[in-house]
Amino acid sequence: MLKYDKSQQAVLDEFFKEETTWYIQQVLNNFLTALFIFISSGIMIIPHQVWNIAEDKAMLFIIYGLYLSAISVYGQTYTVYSESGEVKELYKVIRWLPVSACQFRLYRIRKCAKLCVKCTVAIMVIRAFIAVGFMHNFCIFDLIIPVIFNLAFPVLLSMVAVFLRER
Amino acid sequence: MTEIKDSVLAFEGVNGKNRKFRLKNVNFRMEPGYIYCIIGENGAGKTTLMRCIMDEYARYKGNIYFEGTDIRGRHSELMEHIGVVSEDNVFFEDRTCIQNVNMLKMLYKNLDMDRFEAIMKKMNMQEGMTYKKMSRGEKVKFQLAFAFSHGSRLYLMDEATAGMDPVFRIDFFDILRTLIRDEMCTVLMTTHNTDEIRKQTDYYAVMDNGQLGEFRESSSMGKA
Repeated sequence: MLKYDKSQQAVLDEFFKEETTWYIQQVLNNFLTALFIFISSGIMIIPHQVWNIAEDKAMLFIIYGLYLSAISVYGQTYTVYSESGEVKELYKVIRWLPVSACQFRLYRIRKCAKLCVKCTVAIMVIRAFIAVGFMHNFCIFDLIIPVIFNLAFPVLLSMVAVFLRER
Repeated sequence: MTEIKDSVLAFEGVNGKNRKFRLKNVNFRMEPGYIYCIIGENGAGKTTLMRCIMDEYARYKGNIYFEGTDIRGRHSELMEHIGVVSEDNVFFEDRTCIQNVNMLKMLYKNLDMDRFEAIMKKMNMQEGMTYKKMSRGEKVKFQLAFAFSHGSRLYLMDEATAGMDPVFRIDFFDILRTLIRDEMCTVLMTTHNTDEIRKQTDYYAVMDNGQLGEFRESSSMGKA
């Protein structure tokens, strides 16, 4: 059963704060995450009245794929590390240590969810600002679309993956 | 037979599967303060048995008890008290012994650096050695010191002595004996070396095709 363990999450927080093995990789991951989010957000901030996703599915696919890639790359900071030119799974190091695999996965979800929340809020605010400030025509989809696509779907996707693993 | 609550480790009707290897109705109880050994051919299920204890997602039916409590769903709590010495144990290869311990100590509640340094010194090991540059024997020594530093009460050693030179092998068992005497801990190991079992362990059991025989006194090995 999925159960959020606060003490284990605090231990993992401490571990990733102190740990520097993957520092260079972390910088690279953060750079790629920022780049992908910047590119995808450039389109995602366009209000519904100008860019209707139902009419431009191809663009939605590309932009949303880029956004999901950004979240995935960010999540890798907490799952893999590079050593001697090889990419290795961090879980293999800690699998026989006092850390639950479930908590380890939930930790990554928590980190990714935090990033999704920040992106969603930023996209919603900018969309609303453009819609109201420049077009004088605010639409409820300007709030709903980012919540669904930028927050709910990516988080739900990773939760389902963890739930299936825990069964 | 020892009661489950008094045993360090107890298997009760354990049937398990790990890829192609199976366990068939494994039952045993281990008392504290002894070295137990499981012997068997490759593929007999020795590692599968160890993995049932160590792996959080090990699939098995039946019950496994550590110090009288079922281990299911208690992986993180359990691994505080279990030390693993195995070729499959992974550490940060580019880091030194001391760097590895400094990183991983955050995950333990009671990892004692002084204990780690003391046993490393006792084994003539340099803390500044990079993990990937260490020989197999040195890696075993380091893993033993790491397990010792967090106060393990059960040591699981999967073919830890394979490929060890005879001199170090004697040292290794001397260290183990000291640990067992001073800390009242228990060792469960697997090996292929019958001579080692007879001389260095207290009890042995034969594993064949997933079935584990009864634990017998190692000194009686080979006698009719």
